[in-house]
Amino acid sequence: MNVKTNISCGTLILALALSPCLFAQEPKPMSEPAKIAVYQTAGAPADPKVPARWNLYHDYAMATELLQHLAKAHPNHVRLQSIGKSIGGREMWVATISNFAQGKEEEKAGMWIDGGIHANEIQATEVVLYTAWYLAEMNGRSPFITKLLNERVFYQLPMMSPDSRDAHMYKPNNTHSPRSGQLPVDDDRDGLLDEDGPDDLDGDGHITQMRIRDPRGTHKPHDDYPELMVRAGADERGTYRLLGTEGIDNDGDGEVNEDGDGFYDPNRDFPWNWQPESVQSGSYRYPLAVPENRLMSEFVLAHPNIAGAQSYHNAAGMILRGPGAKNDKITGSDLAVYDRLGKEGEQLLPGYKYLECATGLYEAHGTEFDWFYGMLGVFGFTNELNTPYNMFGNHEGNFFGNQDTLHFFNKRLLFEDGFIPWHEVDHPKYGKVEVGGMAKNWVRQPASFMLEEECHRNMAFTLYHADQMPKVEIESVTVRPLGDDVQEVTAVIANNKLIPTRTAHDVAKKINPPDHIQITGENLKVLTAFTADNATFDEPTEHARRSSDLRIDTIRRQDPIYVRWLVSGKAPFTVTVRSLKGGMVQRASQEEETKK
Amino acid sequence: MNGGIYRKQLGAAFRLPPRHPFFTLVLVFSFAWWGWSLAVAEEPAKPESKPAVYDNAAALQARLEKISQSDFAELSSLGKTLGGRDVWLLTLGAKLSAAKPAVLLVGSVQASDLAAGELTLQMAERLLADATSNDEAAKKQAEQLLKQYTFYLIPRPSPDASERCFAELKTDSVVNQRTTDDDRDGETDEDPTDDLDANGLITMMRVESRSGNWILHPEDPRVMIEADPKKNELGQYLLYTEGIDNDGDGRWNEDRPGGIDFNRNFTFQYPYFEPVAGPNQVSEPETRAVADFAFNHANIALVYSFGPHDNINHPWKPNGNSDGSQYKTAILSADAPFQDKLVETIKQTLDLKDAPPSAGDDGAFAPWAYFHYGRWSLATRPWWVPAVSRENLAKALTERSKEKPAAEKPAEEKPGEAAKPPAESRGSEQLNALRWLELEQIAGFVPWKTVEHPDFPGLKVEVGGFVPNVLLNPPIRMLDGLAEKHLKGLAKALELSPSLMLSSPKCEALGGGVYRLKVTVRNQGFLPTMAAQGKASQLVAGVQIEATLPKDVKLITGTPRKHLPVLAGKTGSTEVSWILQAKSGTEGQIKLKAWSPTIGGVEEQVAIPKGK
Repeated sequence: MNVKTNISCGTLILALALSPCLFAQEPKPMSEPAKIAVYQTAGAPADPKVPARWNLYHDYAMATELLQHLAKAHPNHVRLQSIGKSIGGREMWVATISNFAQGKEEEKAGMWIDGGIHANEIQATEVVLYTAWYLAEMNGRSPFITKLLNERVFYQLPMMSPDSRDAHMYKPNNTHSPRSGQLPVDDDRDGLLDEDGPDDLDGDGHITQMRIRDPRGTHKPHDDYPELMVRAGADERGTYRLLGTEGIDNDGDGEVNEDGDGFYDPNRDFPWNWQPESVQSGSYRYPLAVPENRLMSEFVLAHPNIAGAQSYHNAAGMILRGPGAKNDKITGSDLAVYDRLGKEGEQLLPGYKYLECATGLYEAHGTEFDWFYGMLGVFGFTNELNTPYNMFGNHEGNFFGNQDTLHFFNKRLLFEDGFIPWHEVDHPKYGKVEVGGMAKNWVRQPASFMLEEECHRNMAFTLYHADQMPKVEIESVTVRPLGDDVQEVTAVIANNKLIPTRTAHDVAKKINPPDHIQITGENLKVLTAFTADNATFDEPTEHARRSSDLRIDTIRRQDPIYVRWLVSGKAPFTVTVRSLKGGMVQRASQEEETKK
Repeated sequence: MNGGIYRKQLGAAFRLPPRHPFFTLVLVFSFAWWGWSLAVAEEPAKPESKPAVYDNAAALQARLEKISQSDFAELSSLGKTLGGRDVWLLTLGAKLSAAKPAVLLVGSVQASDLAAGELTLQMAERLLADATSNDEAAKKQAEQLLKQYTFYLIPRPSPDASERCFAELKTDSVVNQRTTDDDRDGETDEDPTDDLDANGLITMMRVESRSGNWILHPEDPRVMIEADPKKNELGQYLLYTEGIDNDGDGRWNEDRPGGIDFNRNFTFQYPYFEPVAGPNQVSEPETRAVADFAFNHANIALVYSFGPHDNINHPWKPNGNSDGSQYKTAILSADAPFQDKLVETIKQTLDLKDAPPSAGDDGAFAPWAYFHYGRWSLATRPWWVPAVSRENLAKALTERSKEKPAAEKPAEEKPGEAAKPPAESRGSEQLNALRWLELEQIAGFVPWKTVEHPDFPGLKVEVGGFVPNVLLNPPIRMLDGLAEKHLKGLAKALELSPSLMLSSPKCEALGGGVYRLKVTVRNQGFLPTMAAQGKASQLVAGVQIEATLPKDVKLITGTPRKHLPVLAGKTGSTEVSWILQAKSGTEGQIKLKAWSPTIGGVEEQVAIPKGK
């Protein structure tokens, strides 16, 4: 750890800003320039307390160690806890990051960030780890980050499916597996659990493809990239026949690889618009039946201050929001908020598209963002990391590019590190076959040199979102005597952030309790209260009931709340606003205003 | 499986301490009230082992333990509730085995419906008694059932909620002990009902006020009906449940103690944001315990449950729109005829009339069992208030007054009126219930009585109405005979089950040690090997066939085990063949086995022909 070189960015900037004044006061030439311990790269510390590399993938143990180091090095800003164990006995780590010395945690809007629910989408976890590291290390160096940690709290669960993360890394798999968690399921309903998964015939840890030489085959090598198998034309004979994914019929039922890890899709396990397997593939038994998701949901439900949510996935460069189902929709004014956030994301993430899941990608029931929006009243996004646009600056091909661009990239930029060359193995059914294909550590995942940029840009989008979470403010409290000991107290309550204290959907479905606006004071007696959406109190609404602690549906940026109480008592009066997601703020009426 | 671990963690997060003072209170007072309330109705005790009053949790456990002393029974717990009570499972069968097809029989899916759990237990007691009875016919039926099937009985799936029936203060609550913010104001359980007349019963409360929408029934002022502006009627009363506006929000009793309703917590047509439905589907320990038990038992073929959902008397109807939609809301057209036949079979045996309409699907257990669990699901109320015409009541009262001249005189009726159909259809159900109570001499209606009410100064406020659950849980003697009928109906329905047969298995020598093994698998039962919805659910195991070959016999084509398609009832069949190679002179038997966990299995031996 670098203790000596902790000159913060902030101090440096301050020193540089002050230096002309210093020159003016002390005109003698500077003999020795201020000693700069390390040349800082813009945007991230070159001398962090916790050194970290962002061009590699952290397995469960490495990620755990990094998080523990962060908590130890930044005790006032990072707290690490396990919310329980995965079914494989791994800890479900949640890092809570905020300035713990400033404000109460439950009174700060919380940003939920998770990754790796589909564990094969391994860079998702890296973005969350990077964000934790970045927030901790840039606190005190970046005024923006410092303010963010003063005002907000970040809850980060980098590994939603830690067992499958290690399974991807250390058990035979490919870039697409395992999407499921490790809870065994009888996929083929034969009474046996996970008995026929793929088989690593060559023992290299990668599940690739099988081919067999066949003079009357269906496929042949590609002209430019001979490792790539292409279908033979109608007027020619192929030289190979493809035999599918590396594996054998382990359970002797005539089907190959039909009952491997799981299968269930942990991101079809959330309660909003959940549908059973007959409608939604992978949905398993009922919402939150996946043990790791249940632990996560318990944490989220216990932190109702969470006001923003971000999940990371791959691939293809998308900023997705719900709804996942075509028969569902975003309520009223919430859409404009979503659009504003999403469009900002498109700018920060070149090549990414902001899309509605149901209409822009596919129908998906029971996803995380739908649960956050539909049942918790929280704007949630899923970023599909790694756009093929990043390879050569164009959108050719599908989610992962196309075969030509992938193989060209593999040849010229990975120097053929991304492909397992075809080689011969023995197969119990087919005899001598060849296995080979894309390595499991790319296609969906960025190559090493692209990983840090992916982490940083996605984090930047999420921090923008976090900054736009609601924050209540009291802009003024004024008192005007009306005679006969009656006074009129007027407060202007605002939320100058993009996200309202309660979403339109939340208000419509009464998901969270309303915001409270309370008045207190010596000998205070409240006669009644009014609210209006304008300073002149045209068409006010009377709050005859509970008028000293009135309830407001929501506070939106475009609609400040004007509150007026008719009271007797002794000024100053104190106005307190309490919002579950917008925080707590208090303000006393001012003396000179009282005298007016 | 990891269900166990997972439940434990959850339990720790939500469970109340088991010795919560509330429960102690409940136990102390429960017997007292039932003694009082049912003493009115109870005839002299019958010489039977059936209890005189409904069992509270402790009595239920004792009774289950007694039942489980039978060789055919086993008692286990599916898990603990928030209140620390066990969700009991009683397993019945000649050989307790998950290898036999099974029936899941669930009692009080509506927690306050104690009669449902009672009927479930009586079915168990009847079945076990029959199995050792001297009545040969009954014995045969019972033995057959216990031999062929495993019966999983969950008499009281939501025991904390059911236990509220035994609380000192009687309410119609059906919810468990989770604290909830029903009115979404940030406070939990802060506006309960209040016993204004201190009679230990939460009934209704009517307030004389022109701002109300309710009026008195023209024939019986005990019954409130809604004013109809189209009939030029002006409302005269506000109507609420008994209580005060404890939290001063202008609503009465809208955030009562607890909790979640087991029968609103399932995934099918889940009523999002309805207060008693829970934070999400299957959120409660008892709901998860029951659902996980079901999912973990591939052998369950049929779910039979007692509750407000009734497709035995009101069979589900298919609907083309639902068939064509990815979101099924009606029974599939392909399944409807089979349901109808099952229902008809049971109904014939039950021979019951005047079943009230079925309750809604929202989050309910019985429709879940079909739509999301993929099994045949049959459900009905255990009991309902029978129709009592004014004529019959008058007749009965006359008889009674002859028998006991000292008895109170019945309300006078104008001659001829009794025969007329009632002019007013509103409130007819309550009028019938009142006649039934009178006929049965049950003190089940608290007369309206004026009380002082802090929320309505200067207004006339009266408290009164039906005793909570009195129309749900009749004196136990009124369930007499129902257990036998349901058992018989269930046995008849099970006779319609799919049944596998291996027809004309043959091993034919083709020469040179090569053989063709061939068999036809038939379904001789009435039902297909699984419901169409079972197939769609991807939860029901299909039929498999396996050939076990002697040593030195190899397969040239095919694999030892195969998955077979769904076989229709009666006509369904599929042919399976393998090509084998054996060393010349090989002798022996090939074992063929076809099976499905929901149907059971059949085996045949085929000899490898000699010579050639």
